[in-house]
Amino acid sequence: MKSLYNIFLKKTLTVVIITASLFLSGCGGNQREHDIELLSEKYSVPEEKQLTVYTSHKEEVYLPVITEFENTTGIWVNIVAGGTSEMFDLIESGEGSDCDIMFGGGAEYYEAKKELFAPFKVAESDILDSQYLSSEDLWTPFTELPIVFIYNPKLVEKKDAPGSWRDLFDERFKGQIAFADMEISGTSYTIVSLMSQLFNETPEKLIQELYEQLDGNVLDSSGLVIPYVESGRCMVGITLEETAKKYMANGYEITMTYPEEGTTALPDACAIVKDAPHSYNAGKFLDFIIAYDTQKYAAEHFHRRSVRKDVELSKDYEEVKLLDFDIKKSAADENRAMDAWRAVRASGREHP
Amino acid sequence: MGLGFIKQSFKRQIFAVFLLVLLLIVIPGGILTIQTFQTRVRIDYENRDLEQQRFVSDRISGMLELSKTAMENLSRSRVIKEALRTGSSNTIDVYSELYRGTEDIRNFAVIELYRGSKCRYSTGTSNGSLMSSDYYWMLKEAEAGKDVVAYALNSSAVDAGSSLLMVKKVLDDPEPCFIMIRLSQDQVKEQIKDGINARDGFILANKYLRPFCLIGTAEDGMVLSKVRENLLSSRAYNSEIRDNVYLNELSGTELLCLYITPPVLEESAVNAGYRVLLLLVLFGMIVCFIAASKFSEFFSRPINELYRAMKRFRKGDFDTKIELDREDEFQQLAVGFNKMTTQLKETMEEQVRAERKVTETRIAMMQAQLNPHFLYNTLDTIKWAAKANQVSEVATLASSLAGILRYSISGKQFSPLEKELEMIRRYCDIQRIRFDDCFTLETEVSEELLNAVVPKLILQPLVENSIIHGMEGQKDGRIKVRAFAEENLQIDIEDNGKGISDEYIKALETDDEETLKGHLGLNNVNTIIRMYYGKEYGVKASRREEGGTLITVRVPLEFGEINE
Repeated sequence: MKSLYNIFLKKTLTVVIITASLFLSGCGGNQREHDIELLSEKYSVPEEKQLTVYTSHKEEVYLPVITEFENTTGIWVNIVAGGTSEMFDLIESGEGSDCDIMFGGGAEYYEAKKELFAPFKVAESDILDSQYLSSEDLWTPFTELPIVFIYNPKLVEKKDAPGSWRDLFDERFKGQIAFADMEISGTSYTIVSLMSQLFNETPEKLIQELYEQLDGNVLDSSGLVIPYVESGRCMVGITLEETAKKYMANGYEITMTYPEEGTTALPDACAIVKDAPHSYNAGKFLDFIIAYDTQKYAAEHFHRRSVRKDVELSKDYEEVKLLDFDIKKSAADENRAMDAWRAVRASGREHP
Repeated sequence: MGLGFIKQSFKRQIFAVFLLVLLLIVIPGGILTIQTFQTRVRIDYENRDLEQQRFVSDRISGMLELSKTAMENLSRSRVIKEALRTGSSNTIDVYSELYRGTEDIRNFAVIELYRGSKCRYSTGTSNGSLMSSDYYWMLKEAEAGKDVVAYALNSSAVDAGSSLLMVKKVLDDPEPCFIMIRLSQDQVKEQIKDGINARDGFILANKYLRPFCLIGTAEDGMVLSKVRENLLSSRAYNSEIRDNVYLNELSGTELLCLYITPPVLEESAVNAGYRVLLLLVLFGMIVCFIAASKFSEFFSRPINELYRAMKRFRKGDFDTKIELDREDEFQQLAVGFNKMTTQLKETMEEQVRAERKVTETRIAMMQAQLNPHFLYNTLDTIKWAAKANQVSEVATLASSLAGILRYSISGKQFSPLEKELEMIRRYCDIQRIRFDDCFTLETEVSEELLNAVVPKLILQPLVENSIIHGMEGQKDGRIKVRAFAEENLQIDIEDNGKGISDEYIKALETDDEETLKGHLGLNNVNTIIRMYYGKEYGVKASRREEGGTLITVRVPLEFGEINE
């Protein structure tokens, strides 16, 4: 009798508590939850509408391109931004396994890490400047960035300005060249590699000569090249056309010249990562970045040269004479050159 | 072990029950209260937030609506069409038309009229001409017929936002001509910032959640990227975000508004609630403990009292009484107990009195048996001396007396009826000699009843009574002894004497010892029988109609061995 009563009591109590809690917590929040669910469902992005881009471009470059890509294709892009080597390291280490496509960074990086990428031939590949194409379609060029000389017109007269790569080694420019540390700046290595191919010298020898000419004056970042020239701490500098143009557009008083022998214009590249989760969308992205509209936009807004033959240069850009630059050789020599660079820097510090 | 431990003590049981009830009520109740409070507050805040969000999105919708109307009006304006078609017109006229048509929107928007990629008229600072890529983009958007578009490819916006644009193509010939209304991020911010609380944030984004405008706490873009991540992984858009995020669509556009407010109740507030609940439970436990102690004392004191009283009673203190100053069931229990002890005491005392009486009677009887063996041997000697001297009467007297004496001094308390009958016969032999053969004794007992067991010496006093009180002066007295068995054994002793007086009959019925003094034998027999067998047995006396007395002895009918 007693236990029966107890059971009844317990059951009643449980029912009362459950009902009360359901009633009190349940009411009211439903509408909001319903709304959240509805909108989340409406805007949730299926896998086939996703793409993850690792980029080493600056935001002002990648954001307009990617935003327009989204608007055009309806594909949502997940952006991971950072330095080129950082991004490559992520992909290589497997931490960046979600990465579909790598956007940005010089083509030589891609050459050096071929094994990370899957080949893709863009639809309009025949209209691209064949000079900038990867022979195995491993990477797709986005824009080309010629290497140029700059000088401070207040310190250097036009007739005295460096006209050729050889001129840089003149006695008057000794210690007056703004040049970034090769270990930090990829462009600096490209410059060294270009000169060594041009002069037909071993990288070690060239580095030795260059270091003597720099007179130990090495900048910590490629971003310092133009400020150094503009402020007169150096008379001349070597940098990318894009960088020079951007600074000039911002009012920096520097003058830009193209080397007489010619120069190289390393393309910055973009490539699909091997085993990418959304490789189909990655392919669309590659087609998009070399599309006419995008290339035109990049040329007009980013001070970059298009890789498309049908995008004409605007009038303040000169035709550049391009040297026959062997990217593969450059990539192969990189470690040697770095060792030599470190060696001369070390000895330079010991015997100033 | 725990249950056993609790069951051992009344106090612990009460404590356990109190605690259980407390926990069952306080904990769910407290949690329920906190949850309800939390829910209510959250809902209230949510409603307020939603209102805020509605206000802001309505403001933006309003701006867009006004802009759209202005654009429609301008696109129909003849003056403007003419000016754009010919490319040359009275600038003042065009501007006055332009300004008139855009009065409502000029404080937040810049209106530009394009002929081809050249900006001809602008309410703001004209930037001359569009870059060709922008121009083609505009052309494309205008042809797509969208009212409001986000101007995404806008390199001048270095930060994460860009302008909101509305483009409408007015003419196609000779060159495409557009009206463009530009709502820059700063102007949008300016317009809605008074609708956003200091601790809130607001995001205006396109349908891919690329922002045009980040205000307040949303400025760092963290919330936006988290929402984006949630949608990319098909979760609820606000999951894993501490702040409240309210997403809604701006009707008529492909824009999304996100309103962000800090969490309503900080974790600490809820935790404080739970801490209070914990304190409440602890306090409740202490109260429970105290209440259980008091309560158990209240109940256990009378029980203990009862227990102690019983113990005292068991040890022989029959005066034990319980004094409780209460009115409940315990009081009734105590009263019952007290009544019980009183009654028990009375019964015991009565028993003791009865036993004392038996003992006294026995002592009196034993005192009467003065050296019986000597008497017996003397009688025996007299018998033989009489026989030698041929005095037969003396021999009979001596022999009968000896028989009586031997029977009466035997240690047995019960004897067969047969022996009793023999006893009275011997007695009558003596009395006959003494009273000169003036009476006869007749016995009428069936064979099987001779073995019935009766207390010793119950018939002799009765027969003696009949002879001494009944046969006085009689010549042919008769005494008849009969025994018969119904359910009990009944022995009748009849005589034809002068009959017992009413006084004695009454005295016998009421045990009046004073009156019965002369008939001690009768009274003694009655007492002995009642002591052995109880009140329903005993001796009754009555007068016979034909004269004489009838004495009836009633004892239970028993057979068997007779023990010492």
